[in-house]
Amino acid sequence: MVPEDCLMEILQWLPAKTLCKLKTVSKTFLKLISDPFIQTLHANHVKTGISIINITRSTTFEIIPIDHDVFSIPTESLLFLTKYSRKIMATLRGLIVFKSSLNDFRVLNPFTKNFSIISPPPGMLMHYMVLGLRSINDKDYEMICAINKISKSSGNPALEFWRYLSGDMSWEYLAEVDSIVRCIVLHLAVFLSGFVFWPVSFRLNITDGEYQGIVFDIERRRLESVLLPEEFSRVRIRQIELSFTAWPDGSLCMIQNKKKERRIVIWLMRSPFSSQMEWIKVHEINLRDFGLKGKPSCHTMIRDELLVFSTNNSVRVYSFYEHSVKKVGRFKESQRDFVIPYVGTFLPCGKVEQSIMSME
Amino acid sequence: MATIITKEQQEKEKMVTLVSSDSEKFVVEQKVAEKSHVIKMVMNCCGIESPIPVRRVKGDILKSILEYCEKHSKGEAQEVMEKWDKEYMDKAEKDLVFFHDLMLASHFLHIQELVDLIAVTFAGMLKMKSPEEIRQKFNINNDLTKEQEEHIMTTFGWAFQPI
Repeated sequence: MVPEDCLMEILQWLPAKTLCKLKTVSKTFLKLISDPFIQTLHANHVKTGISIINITRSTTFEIIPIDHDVFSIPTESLLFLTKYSRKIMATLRGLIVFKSSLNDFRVLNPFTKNFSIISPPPGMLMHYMVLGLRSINDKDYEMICAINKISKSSGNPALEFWRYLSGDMSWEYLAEVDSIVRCIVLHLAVFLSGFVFWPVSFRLNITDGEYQGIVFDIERRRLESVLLPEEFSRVRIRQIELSFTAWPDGSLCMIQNKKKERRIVIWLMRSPFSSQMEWIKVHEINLRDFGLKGKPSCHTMIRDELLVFSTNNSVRVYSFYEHSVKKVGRFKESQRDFVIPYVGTFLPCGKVEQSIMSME
Repeated sequence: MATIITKEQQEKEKMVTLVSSDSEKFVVEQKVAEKSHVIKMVMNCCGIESPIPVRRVKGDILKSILEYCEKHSKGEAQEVMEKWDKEYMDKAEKDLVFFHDLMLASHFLHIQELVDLIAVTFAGMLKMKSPEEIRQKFNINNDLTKEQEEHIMTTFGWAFQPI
């Protein structure tokens, strides 16, 4: 009844899990859904629907579905992750990058049960971090890595930047920049059209400190600072948490977590790449309004309109449109946990893929 | 000597007549008709003086499509449009035959925004249903062999499980 090209248009909007199920409808459905073309089309519409929780202390992973129909990971994938991952470094449209127990990177598509191995950049030591992951086209992605090291020329602490291109399967040296920034917290950084942004804090004395924004310009291979609103120049460091993320329209978004006041403030910078940098406060969530106790932590933007955070060992989702909070799950441990967005896609995890079944 | 064109004349010049497959005539502004990539191409090469036949689309469908195009050529706020689109789709999906024809016509006329809107709505209709329910609703014959079906069920077994 429905011509195949129309059906193609429709199917690409469905979650990957539903697509697998619909393979049993008829031969036409089976043929279309198995087509690599629809699978790349599909990846373009994928919206992050669920999340993985990474409990770093005990290295176990838990999955908390936000959209029930979207969710599903074959148990084999989760077992694989628990067995080989030391830490999840980044996620991108259904791909998960983690540091393996053998100290290499692995990129896993839990949905297709495939993974690929990436050796660390040449001469790299232990202290490297994946800053960001970005799709280049339907199949390939790039990954930006940073390493803390002591500069050979100046003897000062420095950051070394590398880029991995999945299409070439190779690392490219980008730059070494002198830096007083000792620590990069990966889930606070964001990759926005050729720039990596992340917040850093400096202590002024025991209780007080200052927040600054740092941006690495990949094209010009330079580190620059991002102007922050004045109120970040002197803060109680333990009471404020800051993270950067991308707003759907490409603006830079800053999530300010006022733990003590139990407020989460959303700031936007409309044109982060121009000289006129101006932050606008766009949203403020008062957790008291929702009767929530405990200090909020680990917030992530999932899909365009949801903010995920936790209080009192519960994972909660705030909807910007409905101004409502929903409880979606629980943390087993309260500290050091963080939420990583994940959704099922058919995207390849690299040029050379292995099946996790072959590891058993 | 400069020619004086009145506002009415100007407006009139921008109108175009579209004729559906059942010979129903619709007079719309050029910018409304331009929403369709196909009609835009016809207007570019043949002008807007003579009526443009839209032979594959029936009157009631064309009327509904032009209603969509008109709303979308006004440049209203995004929230207003989203709300309007939702109401438009809610009405359309009640009648499956009409909805189906609307989808084909939007494809034929190449109105990408509407194609996407219908595809997303259609996907929403499929989302919560089992393969059996989909076959029933859309009158699809299961032509898979037993072996094929079993193979899919075992390979993607977890996809059939609730959480």
